[in-house]
This record gives sequence, structure tokens and C-alpha cells, in this order.
Amino acid sequence: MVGHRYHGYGHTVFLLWFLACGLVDAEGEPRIEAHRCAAGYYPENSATGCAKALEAGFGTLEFDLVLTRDDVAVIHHDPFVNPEICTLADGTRLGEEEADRVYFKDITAAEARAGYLCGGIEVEDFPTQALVDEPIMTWAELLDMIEGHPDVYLHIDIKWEGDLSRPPDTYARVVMEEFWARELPNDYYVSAEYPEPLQEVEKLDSSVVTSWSWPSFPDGESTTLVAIGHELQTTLGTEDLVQLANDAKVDELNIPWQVADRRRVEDAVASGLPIQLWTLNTAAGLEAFGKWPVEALITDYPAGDAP
Amino acid sequence: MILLVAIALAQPFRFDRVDILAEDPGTWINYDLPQAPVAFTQTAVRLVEQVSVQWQLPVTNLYLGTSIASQSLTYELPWKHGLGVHGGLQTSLLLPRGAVLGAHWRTGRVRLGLGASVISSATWAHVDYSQWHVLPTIGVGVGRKYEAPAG
Repeated sequence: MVGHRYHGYGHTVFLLWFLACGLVDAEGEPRIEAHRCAAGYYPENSATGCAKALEAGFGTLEFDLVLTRDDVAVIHHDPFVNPEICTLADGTRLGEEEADRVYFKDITAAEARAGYLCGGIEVEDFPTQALVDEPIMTWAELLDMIEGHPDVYLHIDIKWEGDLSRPPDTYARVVMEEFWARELPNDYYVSAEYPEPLQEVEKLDSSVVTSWSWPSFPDGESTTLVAIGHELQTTLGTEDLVQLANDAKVDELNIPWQVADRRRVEDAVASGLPIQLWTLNTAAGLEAFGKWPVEALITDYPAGDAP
Repeated sequence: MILLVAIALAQPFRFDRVDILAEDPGTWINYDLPQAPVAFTQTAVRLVEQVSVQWQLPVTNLYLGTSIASQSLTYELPWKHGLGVHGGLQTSLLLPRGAVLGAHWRTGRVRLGLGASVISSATWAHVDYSQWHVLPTIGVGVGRKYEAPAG
């Protein structure tokens, strides 16, 4: 009899306790960033895409910069002309093998602009994306567009990848000096996949907010294995977000949501380390991670219509 | 802590149970489970990381818990009908980082626990005790058949 009574109470207590678990949300209010100028709607980093994103009034624009051989900054995600979205100017498809790659560090801005058209190829990830077929946009052209939009927050992503790119100090100098020369009132921060160009930006002006896209996924290595390695190190405590940022001498971290751990993110944010999460492309994901105390969520669908 | 571990290491351990849902660190049920609909793979990986093998140490009612996510030393104080209370120290690769407190019920091969995990942000990479969380936790373990204490 006594045992049965305990049993009954036990169920109730167990259920109430279970319901108490998971109620740890401290609602965040992250900014929503338009990834690659909102690649869900128009081709990534395209002139049309960026113009439409500004016209739509998205609060934050994220875009990528690479340097050509003659040290001109152009808007592109990869250190080479991406064959998945670009063709030769006459429409011929580019080879997809590594040996076929045309690196920006090996061509001039004029060659990049005249030789290729991007955004005219259907991308499997974005079936509803409108196609355009445009020359690669320069940083100067994008800055011209931004000039009329002083309230847009800018996320300047420097795509430096070691030997595949021009030197990091050149990246920092060219990108930042061209930006500062415009004297735009826009708030901004600078990110990169590797700390080196960010450290060079800090040398130019230590007040610039820098954010490291951690972890780095080196070209040719399995992203899954890299992610699992970092997951284990983070869980074991041999890797820590605050320590990573301190070691890299950066102000913030930009983390893929797939490797983010809520408690460690909360601890890092409470310790004064702002964090952005990328790239959330579902409505459910944006809602779930919107409850995290992060600074920003990066999405290809910033209009709130993610599938 | 070091002394207790030393005592334990001096004599053989005895397997007690596997906590499929461990009370330490207790973060899975609070932080990861609610994300399962949008982050199923991470939720599954972190479930595995927190599965804890519990070893009974030669010191009566003292248990060593070992999982990827946490290593702990817990003392159980049995009461009656398989019920009892417990408390212990949780570590991250033996770096003390918090405590676990609660009540449990052992019946047959099952052990159920309800408690609280008090956990700091300290790791070997960043020994920082400035951030703390107190999380409600549930433990579900399966292992050796429970034998009521004699007397």
C-alpha cells in the first residue's frame, strides 16, 4: 500500500520535474542578417541581389569580398570564380575540378569583370531564386549602392584563404581603406574565416569590431569531420569559445548553428563575447535559435518567409 | 577529490549502471532536447555524449560517473523502499566545475533520479567560474539489480 502511494506521487513529481526541464529560455532578440545579400531571392552576392536587399529594407546586409591580382576588392564568396554559379562571358560552363579553378589572386579585376557572368545558373538549394546573369560586382559598386542607405548595418565578410588569396594585410588595407574613404555613417563589423585578416584590420584601427567565423573549414577537408572534432573538444572542455576569441584576438564569434551549444553560447555571451549564428534557412530554425541570446542570425531568407 | 579518486583507484571498481539520461551535466534535457525538431543530429550526438557509465567504488555508496560530457563523484544516502538522496561533484576532465544534488529511487535494475545540476562555465581551456547555471535534471539508469541495504 505504502509502495503504491509512493509510486503515484513519483509519477507526478517526475512529470512536473520533466516539464521544468527545458524552461531555461532567456529570450534573445537577434538581428536578422541578409546572407550574401539574401541569396534565397537572388543569386548570392549579385548586384541585383544586393540592390533588391537594400530596396527591401533588410536591416543587415552580409556580403563577401575577395581581392584580385591587382588588389581590387570584388564581391564573391570563394577565392576562385565559383563554377556552380558563374560561366564564361559567352555562357560556357566552367570546369568543376580543382585543376579548373580560376583564382582571383591570379586575374585582374578587369579580367574578372569581362571574363565571367554569375547568377544565371539554377542553384539546387534555392529553387525559388530569380536568376540574373551579371558581371562580378566590385566593392566600389556595392559602396555606391549602400550610400543611399545609411541605416543598413553592414557585415563585411573578408574571404581570405591562405595561399589561395592575396596577403591578409593587403586584404585588410584595400577593403577597409576603400570603405573608410566613403565616410559612410553605417554601423558595421568585419568577419573572416581565419583570424589573420581580422588581426590586420585591428592593426589599422583597433576600434573596428571583428568577428571570427569559427571553426575554419579548410579547403579539401571534410566539414563533417571538422565539426565533429570541434564538438568533442568543446564538450570535453579542451576548447572554449571565450578562449578561442581571446587567442585569435577578435571581438566576436560567428558560428555555424550546427556546432553551436546553447549553454556555452550563453556563458560566452554573459562573459561579454557577442555571437552570431549562420546560416539558418528554415522558419523553424529561425524561431528556435531566435530564443538564444545571440547578437544575430544569418539567413538567406531575411523577409521571414524561409521554407 | 584527488584523495577520493586515489582511494577508488587503489581497489577495483564495480559496474553499477548506465545512465541513459544522466543528471550531470544535465544540459541535454534542458538545452539540447528542446532543439531536437530543428537540430536532430546535434541532439542525438549530445545524447550520446552525456550517457554515463556509473561505477560503484570500494567506498560504500560512492559512485564514479564517466561520460564524454562529465565525470562525477556522487555519494548516495539510502533511505527506504529504494528511495534515497545523493550529492556529488561534477568535473570536466577532472576539473571541478559544479555539483549535482537530488533524490533517487532504485527498483530492480532501474534507477530514477530527480535533482539539480549546479554547473559553472569552467573548462580547462578557460578556467572561469564567473558563469553559473542551476538546472533541473532527471536521471534514468539501468544496470545491476538493486539490493536493499541489510538491516
